[in-house]
Amino acid sequence: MADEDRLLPIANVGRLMKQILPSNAKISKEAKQTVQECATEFISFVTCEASDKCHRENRKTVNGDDIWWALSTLGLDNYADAVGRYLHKYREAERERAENNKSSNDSGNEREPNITSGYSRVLEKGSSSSAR
Amino acid sequence: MVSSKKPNQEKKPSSDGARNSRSSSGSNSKKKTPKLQAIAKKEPEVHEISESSSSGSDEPKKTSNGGGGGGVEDANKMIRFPMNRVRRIMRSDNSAPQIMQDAVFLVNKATELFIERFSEEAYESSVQDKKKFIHYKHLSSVVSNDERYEFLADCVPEKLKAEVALEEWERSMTDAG
Repeated sequence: MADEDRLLPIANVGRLMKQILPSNAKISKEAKQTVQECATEFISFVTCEASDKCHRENRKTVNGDDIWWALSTLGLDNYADAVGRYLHKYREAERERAENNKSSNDSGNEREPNITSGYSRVLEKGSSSSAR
Repeated sequence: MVSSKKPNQEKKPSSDGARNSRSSSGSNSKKKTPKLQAIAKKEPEVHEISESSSSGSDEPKKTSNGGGGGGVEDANKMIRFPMNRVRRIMRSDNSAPQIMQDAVFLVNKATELFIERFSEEAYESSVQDKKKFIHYKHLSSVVSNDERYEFLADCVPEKLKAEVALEEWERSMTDAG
């Protein structure tokens, strides 16, 4: 696997950094590459924790709830709360797609999104925190 | 008479650090080191990122699951990194044989947030250091000063001068011997 493939695309990383920072901020190339590696390490870190949970529970598939749990467990609660809202949007999009497929195919093989208690906790917290 | 000002010129003062696409509620203060509470206050801005990413989005529109529904394309507009790449990284050194799409999506978004916050903290470090550029040392400083980033300690070690490292090594050998 080429080096570029095992990391996130540096163009995307750089673009994101540029958007988040003030316009006068400048990022050295080495720093950008370092952030690229750190982001990749972050992905592995979170996934490993979620994967371990699946192993302990004798499950073979890592799902969104495992990721959400891993973010919370690793002291990244603020990430967990924030992504919970995005997941809600994603679920809605998936549901729409499934409904469209069902109406066209009528095969009934839609996958029920397994929204677990973890997410509903997040959504409840999100609705209270969004009042801020 | 044509004005000499360029209409696209947006040299806003960096005092508030706000971006055009992120008209924040002013919570984006650069004065203090962001604590968890300050970071949590930025959650409303997270929504705006999703909206802005759809307008300024240049992430690939390919859907990794091959679904052609409009719903999935909308979901892809919410993310910055290719789902395929994120999935590949997730599978690279893990034994999880299967990863659901929503898990990849969550990791994608969480990584985006991670980069944002990490970058902001590095920028603050560079400002304190009175440097124009964010350098490696600002990242390593953030990592070593915040236990949340302990998992990056091997990824971003503080750089030492060779003589300092040698001294410490000799000291450790003396203590051990």
